[in-house]
Amino acid sequence: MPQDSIDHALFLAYPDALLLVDGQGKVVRANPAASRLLGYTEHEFVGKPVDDLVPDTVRPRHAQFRSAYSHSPRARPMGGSRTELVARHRDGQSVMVEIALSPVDVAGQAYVVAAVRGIADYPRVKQAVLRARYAEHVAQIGRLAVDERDIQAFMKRVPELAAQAFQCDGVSLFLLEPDGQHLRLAGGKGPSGHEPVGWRMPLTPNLPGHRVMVQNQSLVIGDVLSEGGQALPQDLQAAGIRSLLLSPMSHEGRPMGLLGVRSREPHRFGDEERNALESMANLLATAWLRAQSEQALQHAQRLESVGQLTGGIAHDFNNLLTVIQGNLQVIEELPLLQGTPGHAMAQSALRASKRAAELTAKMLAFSRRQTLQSQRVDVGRLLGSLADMLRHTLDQHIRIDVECAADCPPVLADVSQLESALLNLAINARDAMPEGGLLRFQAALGPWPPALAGDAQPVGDCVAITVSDSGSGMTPQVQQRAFEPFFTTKEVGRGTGLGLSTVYGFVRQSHGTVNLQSVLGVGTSVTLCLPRWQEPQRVLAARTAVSPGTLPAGMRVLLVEDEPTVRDVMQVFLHALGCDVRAVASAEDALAFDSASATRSYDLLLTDVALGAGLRGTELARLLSRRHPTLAVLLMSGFTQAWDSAEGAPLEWERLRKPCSREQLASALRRALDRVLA
Amino acid sequence: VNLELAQRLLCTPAALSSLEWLELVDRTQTVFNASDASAPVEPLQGQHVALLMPLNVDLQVETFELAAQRLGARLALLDSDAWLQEAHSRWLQSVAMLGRLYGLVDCCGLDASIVKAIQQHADVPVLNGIALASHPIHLVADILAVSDVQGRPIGRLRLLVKGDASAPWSRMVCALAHDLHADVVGDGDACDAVWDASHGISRGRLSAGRASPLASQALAQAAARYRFCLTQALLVWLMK
Repeated sequence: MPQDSIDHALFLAYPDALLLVDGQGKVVRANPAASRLLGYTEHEFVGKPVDDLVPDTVRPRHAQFRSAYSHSPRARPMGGSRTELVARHRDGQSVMVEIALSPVDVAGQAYVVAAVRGIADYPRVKQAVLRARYAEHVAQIGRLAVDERDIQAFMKRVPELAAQAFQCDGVSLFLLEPDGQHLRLAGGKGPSGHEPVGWRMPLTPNLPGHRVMVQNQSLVIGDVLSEGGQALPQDLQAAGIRSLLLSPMSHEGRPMGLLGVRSREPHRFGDEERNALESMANLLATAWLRAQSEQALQHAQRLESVGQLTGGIAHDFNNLLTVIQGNLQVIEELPLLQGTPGHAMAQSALRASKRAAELTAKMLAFSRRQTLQSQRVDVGRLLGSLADMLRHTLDQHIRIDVECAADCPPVLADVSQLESALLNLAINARDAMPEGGLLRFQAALGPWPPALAGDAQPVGDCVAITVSDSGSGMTPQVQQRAFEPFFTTKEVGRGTGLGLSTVYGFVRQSHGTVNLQSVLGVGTSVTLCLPRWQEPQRVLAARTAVSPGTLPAGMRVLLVEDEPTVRDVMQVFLHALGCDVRAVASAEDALAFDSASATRSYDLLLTDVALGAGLRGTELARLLSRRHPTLAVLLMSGFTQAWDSAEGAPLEWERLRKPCSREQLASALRRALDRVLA
Repeated sequence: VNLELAQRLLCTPAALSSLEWLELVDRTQTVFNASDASAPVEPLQGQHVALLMPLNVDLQVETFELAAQRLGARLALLDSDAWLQEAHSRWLQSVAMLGRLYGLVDCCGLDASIVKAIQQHADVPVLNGIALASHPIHLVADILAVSDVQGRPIGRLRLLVKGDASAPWSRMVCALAHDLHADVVGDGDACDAVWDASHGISRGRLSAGRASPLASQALAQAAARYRFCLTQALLVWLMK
């Protein structure tokens, strides 16, 4: 056989691509293997600059390399040991290759033969390519997690990126519902799995998702047909899905959702995929938590600002109501009015002013400015007692359960306000269950939930009291605004919109947190996390029981009130109670009055806390108490934060909230006297 | 005059002033006239009403239940025996809870002193059994029915009371007739309606004056309708 024929046959049959390149860098000849590898016909290769066969990014370097090679041509592999060579296919795609170069002399002309071998199908290369693709997509998700402020858009985009990365038949992103019994589809991609975003999947024990959530570990199902016991949702079965990979999204060991990929190909997912999916799920969890935390912080800030506004209004209203209520009480008792329509009108106005005072009290509660008498509260006993009363007072269609953990410790809270808060929640639950249902009270010791940004994370444990119902639930929009004052979903004129907001204010003022979870059509649960009571704990002294005794006749009262109308009303009340009153407008006047006589000329100091520009009522009380240790003191304010924050210490004096009735004043005066006597 | 019935016990004939009786008549008539309107009006939508009564006794409260429900209110039947037993040890808390859970409480079959004690602390309208047809307030419905069936204005009605003139029901008819400018006639005189309280029936038996069985039947039907309207008028007046 002629040598030429042998050479030609070898050239044609050689399994690697062979390119004969001339001194100008143009292809002179290419074998069929080159056509298969790079997509050009043998004819198209001829005259093509070899630089065109490398990707655009490396073309300039390739030209330099070719020039250098022409000065010292020798047979050697192209590139270094750590250089990955890439050729450019006709369709623009990159092809991973190994290249060996050999100089050839043909009829005195210098040529170079490039033997090019495609290595994309090599397992190690395949793995490297796969890893690179996964890493690139994980990085993209990471960048997105940082840049994307809209968590919903993020949730939508992640399945798309995961689908690109895994080149699989579908991706689903589920979030755990507050009830812990369902997963909600938050995003998805792929032809199989047609459920819309928002679809709820029950976490039934035979489904793979259940196992992932319970064990909080990734799960690979190589082939659903051969791995018995792995039930698949029907739509996935119908779509011919054979293999699955699921990875939990978790935080501090608690799963909050899962990311799953699926394929019609069995055994499609291995360790590389598991690692990549876990990275994606972790990024998702982090972004989701951050979004929730930001949302909670914004919500808290909005409530805080509304609270400040509300508290300010309530304070001003209380002063006005003190005057209105006081004068109405005087008018109502006028002898000439008895038996006339005017008397009924005065009673009606008085009732209205009392309702207005209740409203301002709720506003103060929301703005964390109500007076709290924190003490040890036995939660189990409180819940049991409340449930007993509710069982006889609520419609019989509502079933009431109480579950208090045996080791649930007492809490530190104002018992009447706590009971009121729980009753508020029970009323909301009742309203959410017009056809009846289950109202459940639960209490248990547990860890404090994560603090909001700006709040110090409480140490130790808290007592979580949960009130849940099986009612109509709330939409996410309603949940967002549920704690806002004056926000109500009830009919116009029905709800004040202060129920949940007072609960919020009370719990926050009690150094606790409130958490609301609701699912439309399933129910709502509100959890109050309160500090557990610990011995020894300095608490405000429990209010002395109201003495049934009357006030001493002619008791001398030094009244200090800067608001003239309020001062007048209080004077009228005190006179009606048989007191001898000396009224002044400032702490300075009170001190001057006290200094004017050698001995104390009054039995009790009744002072407003906020006294305009001068000394505060608390400071006045402290000064006069030092001078007269047996002096009875009664502080009054419509702005109770004033005394709560006095030098950060609990006050030892009796307090009276404005507005007040004459009877409330009498009762508070009696307590102040009793305290001194005690 | 601001006629506010809230917190008022409607347990005695003297509980309401003349003005209030007239207002109640007017409101009942308005509800009656509007009752044929096709569009359902539910002014008490979302409100809660409690009927506190012994559930082991068969008390006829269907008219009240229906009236409240048609107004959109949600009605809860509470067993007064169980409630009183529970409330015994913590009266104030139990009554306050009743007041917070409901916009109105009607106590049926309870002692007046208990009703008054609940009323004192509940801070919502507490009534003494207007759900029962025997409550004297329903006399207004009877008189409106008589006026309707006999075709005479209330001020020209001639009413006759038989039996014990000192019985609360008899006194109530006389007082109300006086307030509404109707005449109370003596036995033997021509009359438009007769309340027969001679058989110890707490609520006098009402019949048409001219002893026509058909008229008495029509009167009974009209009285039932007016009772329904009166209940609705009272609920709206007290709760809205």
